[in-house]
Amino acid sequence: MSDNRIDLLQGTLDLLILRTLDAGPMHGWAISERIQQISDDVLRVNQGSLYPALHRLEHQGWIKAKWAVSELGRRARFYELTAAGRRQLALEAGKWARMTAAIGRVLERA
Amino acid sequence: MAWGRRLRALLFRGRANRDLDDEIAAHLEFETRKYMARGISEPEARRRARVEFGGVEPAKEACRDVDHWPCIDALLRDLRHAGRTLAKTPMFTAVAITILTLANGSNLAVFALIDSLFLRPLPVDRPGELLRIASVDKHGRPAQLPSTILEPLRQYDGATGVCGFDSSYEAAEMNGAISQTGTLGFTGDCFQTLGIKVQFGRAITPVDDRFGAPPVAVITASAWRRAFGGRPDVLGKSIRLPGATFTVVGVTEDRFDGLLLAFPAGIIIPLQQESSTAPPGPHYAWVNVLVRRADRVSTKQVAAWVKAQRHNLLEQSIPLHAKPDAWRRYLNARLMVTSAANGVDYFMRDRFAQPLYAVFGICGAILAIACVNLANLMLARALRRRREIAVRLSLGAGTGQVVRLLTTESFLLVFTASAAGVLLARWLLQIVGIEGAMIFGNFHLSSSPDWRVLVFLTAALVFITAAFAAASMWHCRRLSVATALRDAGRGIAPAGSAQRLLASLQMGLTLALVVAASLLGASLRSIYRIDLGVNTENVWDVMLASRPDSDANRYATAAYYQELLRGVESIPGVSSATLCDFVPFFNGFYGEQPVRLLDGAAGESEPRAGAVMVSDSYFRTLGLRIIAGEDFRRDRVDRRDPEVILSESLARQFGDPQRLIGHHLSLGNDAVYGRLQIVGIASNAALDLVNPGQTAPLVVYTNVWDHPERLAWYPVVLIRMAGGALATAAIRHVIHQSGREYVERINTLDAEKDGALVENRVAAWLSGAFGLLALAMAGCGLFGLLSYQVSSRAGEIGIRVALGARRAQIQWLVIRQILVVVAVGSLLGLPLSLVAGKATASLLFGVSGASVAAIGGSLAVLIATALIAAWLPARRAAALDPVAALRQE
Repeated sequence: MSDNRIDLLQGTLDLLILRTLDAGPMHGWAISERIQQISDDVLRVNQGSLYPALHRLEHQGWIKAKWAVSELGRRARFYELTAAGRRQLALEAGKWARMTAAIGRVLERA
Repeated sequence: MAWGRRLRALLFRGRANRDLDDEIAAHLEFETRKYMARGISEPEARRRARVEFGGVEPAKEACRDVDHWPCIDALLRDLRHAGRTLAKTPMFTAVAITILTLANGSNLAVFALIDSLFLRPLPVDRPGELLRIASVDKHGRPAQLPSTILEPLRQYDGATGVCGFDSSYEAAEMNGAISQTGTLGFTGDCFQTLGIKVQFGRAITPVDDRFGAPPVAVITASAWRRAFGGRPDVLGKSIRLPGATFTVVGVTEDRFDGLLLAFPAGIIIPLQQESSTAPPGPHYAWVNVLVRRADRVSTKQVAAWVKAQRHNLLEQSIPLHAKPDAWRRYLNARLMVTSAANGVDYFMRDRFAQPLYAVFGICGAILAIACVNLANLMLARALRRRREIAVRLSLGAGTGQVVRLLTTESFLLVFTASAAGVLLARWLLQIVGIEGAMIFGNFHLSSSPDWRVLVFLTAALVFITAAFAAASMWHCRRLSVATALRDAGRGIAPAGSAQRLLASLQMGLTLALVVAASLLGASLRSIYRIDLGVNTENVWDVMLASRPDSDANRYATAAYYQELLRGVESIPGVSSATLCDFVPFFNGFYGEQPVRLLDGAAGESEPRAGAVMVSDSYFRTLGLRIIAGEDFRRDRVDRRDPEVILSESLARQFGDPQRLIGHHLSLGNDAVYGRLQIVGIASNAALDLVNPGQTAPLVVYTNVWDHPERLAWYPVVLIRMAGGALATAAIRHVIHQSGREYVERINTLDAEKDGALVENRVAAWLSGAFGLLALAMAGCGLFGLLSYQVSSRAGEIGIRVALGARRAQIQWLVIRQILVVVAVGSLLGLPLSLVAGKATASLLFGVSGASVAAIGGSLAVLIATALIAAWLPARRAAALDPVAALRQE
């Protein structure tokens, strides 16, 4: 199982966080779990860099945080996409799609 | 948003940190529960969660870096640390801050004065383009020109505007209250040429500045607020000046407060509307001429044009009604062109430039001494902290961090002292304002800080911090971890050459300051010792001014003033009272006039003498003697020729004083003084202190009762009390009852004398106080230096004693250090002292700037201070127990 894991590319963590939060407010651990789940455990979030990334996104105004009680009954910090974050997500996702398509084409035809 | 979060993180650091801890703890807990749900035991689950997470602290640190400003964080940490370090040595910190505050505050105050006196631009549009065209008086100063010169000047195409103004300080009745107010008389084009805007209403225009136009006035914003409470319905209100009533038509913009340096204006009226003694009809006035040069011409070009056109300009502007010899003199006038960018000045710069720069020098010297002294203390501290710093370095602190630490400490000291210095400077400037108002009446220097003062303050702050940091680093630079750890606390004396050099420099500067202080002190004492020929004790002067609500000329008769004088004399305690047209020591003589003896009694000589008008009892009141003839009489019946009394010095110019009685003379070119009879000769008396050496000025005293209408221009009552203070309420009552005037100002003659010597007194007091401070600093500095040396050389001294050195030898070892410092310091200080003597020369009277006694005396004081400072450490060194000292090793 561990063989399949891929460390995230530089800069893609932000995009994944934004996309994950598109589904609704979530705390940090849930974000990392969800990314792993959806990617069938292929993408592995380095938890040490997850929180600085969350704080950075918060500073940029793309997500906002508030304290709330989690499903397990513990107080946790929930993050939520802002309107600016939604716009940023669309932008970044478009960029990513163009880039992967371009890389795909090169790999196919070159 | 990010900014706000960061600020919150900065202000509520504790909470932000707790939140972060909690957030990550929550994560670990969720992870643990995930593993536990798979059936793993709790401790193992907890362990795995942590492993999965990786380094918790680095992650937190990374978050904090995002949340905070890392640089500000570090700075705050440094500041807190520096504060703690300084608090550990409270004596040092308190002394350092006190000394720096004194030095900083006085420098700042003096610079603010220099700024407002010389550097501050006029509050008008593009002041740099404004030039003043003036005639040159006999002292080489700019003087006023007749307003008739404005017309030919307007032909000049190098000027985009020409205007003239004069000024007065009169009782004005505004909104029912009477107060002395600075008044400017403007030609009609002043507002436009100078670019003065009104905030509402309208400006004065050329239409207003015509004979027969309705009298209107514009008031300045400050007068509007003061007298009318800033109410908008001021337009159309009346204000009364002596002799005329004006309608307010406008209020100037806030920044405009007058054109004369240090003398603010409240009221602006058209020049032609000023009350004058000229016959009704258009007339000219003596005005300050201002031109605004066109962009394309330089000041030099304007000056060249004025020089070339001088004759034309004067010829086309000969004052109306002038007599032939007056206009011949006028045609010979020289013209000068000066910048008016910093305002028009009558005498302030002339009188205060040199004293101010001398005081600035003194303050600068004390700042330099304070810096040197504190730098030296810093060095000693740095040495004592060698161990601490060595430990820091060996624990991995970079040199940069150590430097930052020391710089932050210096900065904290200097910043605190600067903040306190700003308060001190504000207080000093307030005192200057109050003193100035007492001496000059209408006086206000706008000393609100402008950018120049801020630049000065910042520059001082940066410079001092840098100097201190440099001193502290001097030693750290050479500090190697191993030697520092080994040496610290042990007997090997570190090289103190830098400290000794600084101490010598401090000695030199202190010597110069003490020399300056002793010169200024001696000079002030010798001025006060001068026998002026006047007894000022128990004499009061009361300045009167016309009430705006009285008809200016109706009462100005001999009978009126005699009645007034009788009223004053009836006040209990008054021993004698007199009227005159000047305040001794407050006004100088109003220009000297040629005196010619008539009746063929004259020789060739035609001396120029100061002329003042006095009534009977004047000489008695001031303690002058009549050495020939008699005093004026109040009840003279035989009104023949107007009378004069001459000063003895003037009488001797014409030969034997006794023989002059009964002869006639003429004074100046005024027809009223064409034939005056000499009735008496008075003993010499100095009535001003402009030139303190001149104790026998040539004076002509004319009789008030011959020309009472002239007294009305500037009436002053002098009162000698039998003892005790003058009852001011009683005198105000008497003057008010008389009806024409009110009391503008009451003072004692002794206070007037102090006022006349204000620059000498300030310089002497300041240099004296700073001289003492410098001596104290020098003493403390040397004491600290030697004490430190003795304690750091304890081991060496112990060995010497153990090897048989005698007490005296040990003491000599310490004292020797002082002698070197004092010798080098004196060598540095002697040339500095000569410079100090030269810089204060303009304030010196009765002592030479290079006085051997002053320098020798100061040197002796300095050496005595040094020896006292050396005595305690030397005694301690000699009393050192060799066993104890060696055991410390």
